[in-house]
Amino acid sequence: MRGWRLLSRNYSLALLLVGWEVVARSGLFARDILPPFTTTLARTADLLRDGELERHVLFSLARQASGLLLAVVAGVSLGVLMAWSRRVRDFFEPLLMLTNPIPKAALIPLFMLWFGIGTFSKIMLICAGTVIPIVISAFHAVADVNRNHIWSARAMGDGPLRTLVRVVLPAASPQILSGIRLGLIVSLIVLVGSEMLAGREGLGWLIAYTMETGAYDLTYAAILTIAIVGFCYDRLFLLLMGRLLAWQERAA
Amino acid sequence: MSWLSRSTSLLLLAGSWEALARLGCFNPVLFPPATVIAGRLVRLAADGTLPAAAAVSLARMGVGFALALVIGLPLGVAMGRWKPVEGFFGPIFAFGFPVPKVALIPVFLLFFGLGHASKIALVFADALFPVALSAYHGVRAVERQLVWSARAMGDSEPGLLRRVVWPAALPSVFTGIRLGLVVALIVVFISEMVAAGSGLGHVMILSARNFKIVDMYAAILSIGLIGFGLDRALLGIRRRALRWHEGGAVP
Repeated sequence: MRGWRLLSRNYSLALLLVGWEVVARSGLFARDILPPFTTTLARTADLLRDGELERHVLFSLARQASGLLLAVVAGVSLGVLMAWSRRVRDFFEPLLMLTNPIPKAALIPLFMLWFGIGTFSKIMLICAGTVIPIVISAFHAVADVNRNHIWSARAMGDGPLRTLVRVVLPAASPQILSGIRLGLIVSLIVLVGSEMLAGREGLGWLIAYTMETGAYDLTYAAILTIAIVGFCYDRLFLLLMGRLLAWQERAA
Repeated sequence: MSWLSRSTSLLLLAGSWEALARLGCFNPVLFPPATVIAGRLVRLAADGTLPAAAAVSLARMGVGFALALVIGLPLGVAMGRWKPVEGFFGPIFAFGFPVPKVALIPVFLLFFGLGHASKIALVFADALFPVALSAYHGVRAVERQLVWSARAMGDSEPGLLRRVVWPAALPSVFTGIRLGLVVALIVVFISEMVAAGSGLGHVMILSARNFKIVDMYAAILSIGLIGFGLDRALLGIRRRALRWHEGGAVP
């Protein structure tokens, strides 16, 4: 019953998959250029069974998660500092305004050169690619926190650190979290792009490698995996965001 | 604050890069002095190498982005106004938005070849989602009272869309366009790095692979300038279009 509801609500996605299957089987395109959906699923299952896919997914996710986590810690700290101190703000603001619109793809060759083509280089790349929007959103969010709430907390005897953790960060969290979601989208792009260009593992590498060796059905399997991973990741994040912000709904 | 003190941090950064590079604190091959990079940038700009590559990249991005606007905005508005359209495209957009479309590069290469078309397709695929979704959310957030009043005053659907729904959705639309531009710029250069014979991304990765490091820095710098210029231009357009809106002046 639930399954049926899910299907009827997402009928267009199902139609798309059926369309893929029909077009692929119709012989309009060569089989290796467009393998049918069912074949792609079977290849994905094969890759899963021999453990290959799992390895690449874990590599990619570990890189993405460490890079983004680093960016969140560094970005939120800097954003808070900028809102706290005029000096810090005056120093970093022009720097951020200038570097924010730089397309982050330009960092890929630079970081290959500085840090090599391994995991460390990719973590740095994802961190650098996502940190600026996080700093900016954290800065604006913290600067917008109601002064009266901060003063009340201080007057009731909370120290600066306690005020930060119990008043400022919770109040700023919605904006910070939407900055992080933006970072999540960009980080997946940069991750897959950089893995396609250099390295020996990860989902992006799997795509580029199978493409070069002409195993197009495996390329499609890897693409399907990335699509599913990206979608699940975003859903999990939204779920987490809802949980973290649930108290606000209740308060309002 | 004056212009000079605002740019203190930038001058400081460029100055210390120059000093550290000249003093030999860095590996001179990996970190050439800032003035050397600037000099190469000017030379490559004067002999036409960089402008030609930039024109190719910008044309690819421009066509893909324009397609995303032409198709994405009406689609987003339609999704916001009509239930059946929302029922059909809603799940597709919800599923596709977080998926990194760079993964589709091989598919586009197989279908459209190594030339412009595969890059344009990628830019389109990546920019379409934020653009359409922002129009959709903008239209959905329009106050019902506004729509009802316009209807009560005899506005037909086209008039309603043009005079009430579209202007009210415009701030959200601009947010989506800005995000779309960010993503479009990233993916056009990634696609040129992965597989292309021209464009700034190609120049950049080729110089890196051939260890022409100063050329690589010059290409990176021009990509940064393009990103900065386009972002400024978009903010300028936004300010003009939203002059009536209270949030219009805020970047």
